[in-house]
Amino acid sequence: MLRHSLIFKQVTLPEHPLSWPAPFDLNLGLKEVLLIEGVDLAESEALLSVAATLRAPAGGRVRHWGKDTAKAPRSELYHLRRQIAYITPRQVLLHRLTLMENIALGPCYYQDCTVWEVSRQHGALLEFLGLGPYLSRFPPQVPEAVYFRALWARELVKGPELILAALEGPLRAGETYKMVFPWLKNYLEEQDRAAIIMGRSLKAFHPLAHRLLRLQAGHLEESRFLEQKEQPLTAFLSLL
Amino acid sequence: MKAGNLISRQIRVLGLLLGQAVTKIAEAISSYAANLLDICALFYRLLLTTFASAVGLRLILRETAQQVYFTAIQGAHVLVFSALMLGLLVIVHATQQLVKVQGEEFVGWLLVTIVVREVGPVWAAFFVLLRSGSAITAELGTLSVTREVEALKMMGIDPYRYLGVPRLWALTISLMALYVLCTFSAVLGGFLFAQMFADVFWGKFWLSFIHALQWLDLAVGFAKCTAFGMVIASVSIYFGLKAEKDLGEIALYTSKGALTSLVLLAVVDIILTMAYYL
Repeated sequence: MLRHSLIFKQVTLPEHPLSWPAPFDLNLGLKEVLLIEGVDLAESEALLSVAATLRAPAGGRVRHWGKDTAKAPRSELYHLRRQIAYITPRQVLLHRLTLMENIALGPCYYQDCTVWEVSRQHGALLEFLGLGPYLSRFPPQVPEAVYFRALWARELVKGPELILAALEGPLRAGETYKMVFPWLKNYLEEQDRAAIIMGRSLKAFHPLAHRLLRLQAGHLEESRFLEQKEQPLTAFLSLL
Repeated sequence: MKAGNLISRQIRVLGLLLGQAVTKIAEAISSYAANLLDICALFYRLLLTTFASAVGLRLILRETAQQVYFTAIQGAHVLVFSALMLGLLVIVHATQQLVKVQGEEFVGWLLVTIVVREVGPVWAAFFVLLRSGSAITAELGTLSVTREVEALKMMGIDPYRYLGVPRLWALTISLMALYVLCTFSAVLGGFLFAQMFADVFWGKFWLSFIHALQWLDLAVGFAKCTAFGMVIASVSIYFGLKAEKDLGEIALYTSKGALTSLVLLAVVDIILTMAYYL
C-alpha cells in the first residue's frame, strides 16, 4: 500500500459517468506516470476531482499515500491538497488578484513570504511558461492561453508530489500544450513524482508514461510502455 | 342523500387542504431550523478557525482591513447624515411633548434611552446589513459559483478562514465603529435642533444628557453591536457559500440572507434588551 501514491478500491464516482466501469480499481505507483485516454473533460473531472480530494466517492475507498482520505479531518485534506496539482481547463484563477498574486497565493499563505519572493524563487518556471509580461495583469485581461499557463504555474509552484491533469479544450490545441510538456517531462523525470494525465488522445505524452489505460465501452484496457525505466519486473511477467 | 355526500366530500377536501397546509408549515419550520443550526455551526467554525493557528495571518489581516475600509469608511457619510436626521427627529417629537409638561430636562435621558441603548445599534446594524451583508452574500456566492472557492481549496487554503474570518471580524469591528459614529451624530443632530428650533438651552441639554448617560448604557450598545455584527456576518457568509450551481441562486440567497439577518437581529435585540431590564 505504501508503494502507491493513489489507490482507488471498488470506487463508484459521484454522478458516475456511464462510460466508467462501476465500481473500478485503480492503482498509481509512487513514481508512476499514468495516461488515461479516450475520456472527455467531464469524464476526466469526475475521476480527478475525487483523486484531488475535492469530492468524496459515491462508493468504495480512496487512499493517498496509504491514508484513507474519507476519514481524514479537514485540516489534513488541506495539507494533502498542497501536495497535489490539479489542472483542468475548468479550473479558474481568482479574478480580483493579479496573475502573480494568484500564483503566489498558496506559498504566501503558508510560508508567510511576499509575492516578490515567490516570483524570484520560481522565476525560471514563470519565464519558461512565458508569463513574464502578464504577471501584473488581472485574469480577465490576459489571452486564454496565458490564463491556462498561469493555471499550470499556480499548481506547479507547489512542487507537487502528484499531478492530476485533464488535457482537453484550449489546452490540447494551443501553445500551452507545447510549452508545458518539456517542463513537465523534466519535472517528472528529475523529481520522480507521480502523475495521472487524462484526455481524448495523449500521443505526445507517451514518452513520459509508464502505463496507459484506454477507456472503451465501459471498461479500462491497460498497456505498458516497455522502454520506460524503473518498471518493476513483475509487471512484465505476463509477457513471458 | 346527495347533500350529505356533497358535505362529506367537501369535508374530505378541506381536511386534505388542511393536511397539505400543515405539512408545508412543518417543512418551512424544519427548513428554518436546519438553516439556523447550520448558521450556528458556521459561526462556531469561524470562531474556531480564527484562533486555531497563525497560518496566513498577514493575508487575513489585509483582507480584514479592506473589509473594514469598505464597510465603515467608504459609506460612513451616509450613516452620519441619516443619524443627524434621526437625532433631529427624536428631539422634534420629544420637545413637542416634554415642553407641554415642562420636562425639558428629560431630553438627555430620552436621547440616551432611544439613541445610545436602542436605536443606535439597530440603526448601525441596518446600515451594515444593507451595505455589506448583501454585498458579502453576493460576492461569496459569485466566488462559489465561478469555482474560485474550489480553486482556494485546491491551493490548500480553507475558504472559511481566508474568506469568512476576515468578514466576520471586519463586520463586527465596523459595526462598533459605526455605532459610535451614529450615536455621536444623532446626539449632535438633536443638540443642533434643540438650539435652533426647540428653545432648549444647550447647557441644560448637555447636563441632562451627561447625567443620564451611564457606562452600562454604552456597554449594552456595544454588546448589541458585537452580537449584531456577528449575526449579519455569519448569515451572509452562510448564504453566500451556499450558492453553488448557477448565478440565479445568488440573487435568491442574497434576498434570503438579508431577510434572515433581519429576523435574527430582532430576536437578538429583544433578548439583549430583556436581559438588560431583568
